[in-house]
Amino acid sequence: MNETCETVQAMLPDYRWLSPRERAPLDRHLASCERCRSEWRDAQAMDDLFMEARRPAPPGFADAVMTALEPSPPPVAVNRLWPLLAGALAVEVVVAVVLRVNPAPWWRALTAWGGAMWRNWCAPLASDTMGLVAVTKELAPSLDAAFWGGALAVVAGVAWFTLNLGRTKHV
Amino acid sequence: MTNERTTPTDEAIVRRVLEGDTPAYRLIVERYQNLVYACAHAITGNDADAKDAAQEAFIRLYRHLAQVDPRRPLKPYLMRITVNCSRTITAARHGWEPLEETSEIVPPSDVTEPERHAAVRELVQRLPQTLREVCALFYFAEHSCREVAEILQMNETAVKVALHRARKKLLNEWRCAHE
Repeated sequence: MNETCETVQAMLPDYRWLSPRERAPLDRHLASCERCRSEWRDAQAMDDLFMEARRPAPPGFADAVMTALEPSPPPVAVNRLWPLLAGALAVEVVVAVVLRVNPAPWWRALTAWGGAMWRNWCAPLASDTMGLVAVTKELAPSLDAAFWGGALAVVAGVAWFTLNLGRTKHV
Repeated sequence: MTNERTTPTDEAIVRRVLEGDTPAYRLIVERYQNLVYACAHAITGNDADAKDAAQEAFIRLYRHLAQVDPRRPLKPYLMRITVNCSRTITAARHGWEPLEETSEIVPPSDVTEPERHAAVRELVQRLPQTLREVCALFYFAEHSCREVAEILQMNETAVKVALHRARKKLLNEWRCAHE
C-alpha cells in the first residue's frame, strides 16, 4: 500500500460527508486502485445496510415526551452578566478594604504609581475642565485603592467570563 | 423570512422555550426523535430501553436548556446526552446478557425487509460497546467522524479505526450469514 492508498483509506469513512470537489481526487484514485475500490465498496455496502436498518421512533413518541415534561418546571434563561458584575463588585470591595488596611509593599508601589498618574494627568485635566481640583486632591488616595481594586476585579471577571463564554455544561 | 417561519432554527426554538414557550419544545423533539431513538436503540439493543433512553435524553435536554449555548449546534449536545442515557440504562438493565457469538443471524436472502433490518441491528449488538456507540452515532445519528470524536471525547483517528474494525467485523458476519 503506498501513501496515496493510506490517505484515501483514511478519508473513506467520511466519504458521504465530502463535497463533490473533495470527492474528485478520491474518485480518481478509486478508479485506478482495486484494493481501495474494494474497501470503498465494503464501506458503501455497510452504509446502505445501516441506513435502511435505522429504527424510527415509535408513533406517539413526541406526545409521550411532551406529557412527561409537564411536571418539570420550565427552563429559565440564565443571565450570566449580573452575577458576574455582582461578583466583580464584591471582589473589588474586599481587595480595596484588605489592601487599604494592610498594604503590601507591592501594593504601596502600585498605588503610589497610580496616585501619581492620577495627580499628574487625570486631576489637572478634571480641574481644567470642571474646576474640581480640590475635590480630586482630597479623594485621590481613596480613589487609588478603589481604582486598582476595581481594575483587578474587572480583569479577573473578564478572564472568567471569556473562559466560560460559550461553554455548554454537559449533562 | 417565510422559510424561517416554517422551519425555525434550533437556536430560535431554544430561545422561544427559554422565554416560556414550552410547547415549542415539541419542534425539537419531532426534529430529532428518529435520530435519537435510532442511536439509543443501537446502543441499548431493544425497544423498551431505547424508548426510555430517548425519552430521558429529551427530558434532560429540556431541564438543562438554560445551560445550553444557543449559538452552538444542538444536535451533538443532544446526542451526547442520548449516549449517556443509553449507557446508564444498559448498565442498569437487570438480567441483561450480551448476545452469544454463536447465535444465528437470519440469512438475508430468505427474509423480509423488516427481518433483514432486525438482523443488521442484531449484528450491531454483537459489537463491543465503544464500537457500537461509534456505529450508532455515525450511521444512525448521521454524524461525521469528527463529530463522533467530539461527542464521545475520542481522537478522530481512533473513531476511524473503530469504524474500520466495526465494518470489517460486521461485513464478515453478514457475508457468513448470507452465504
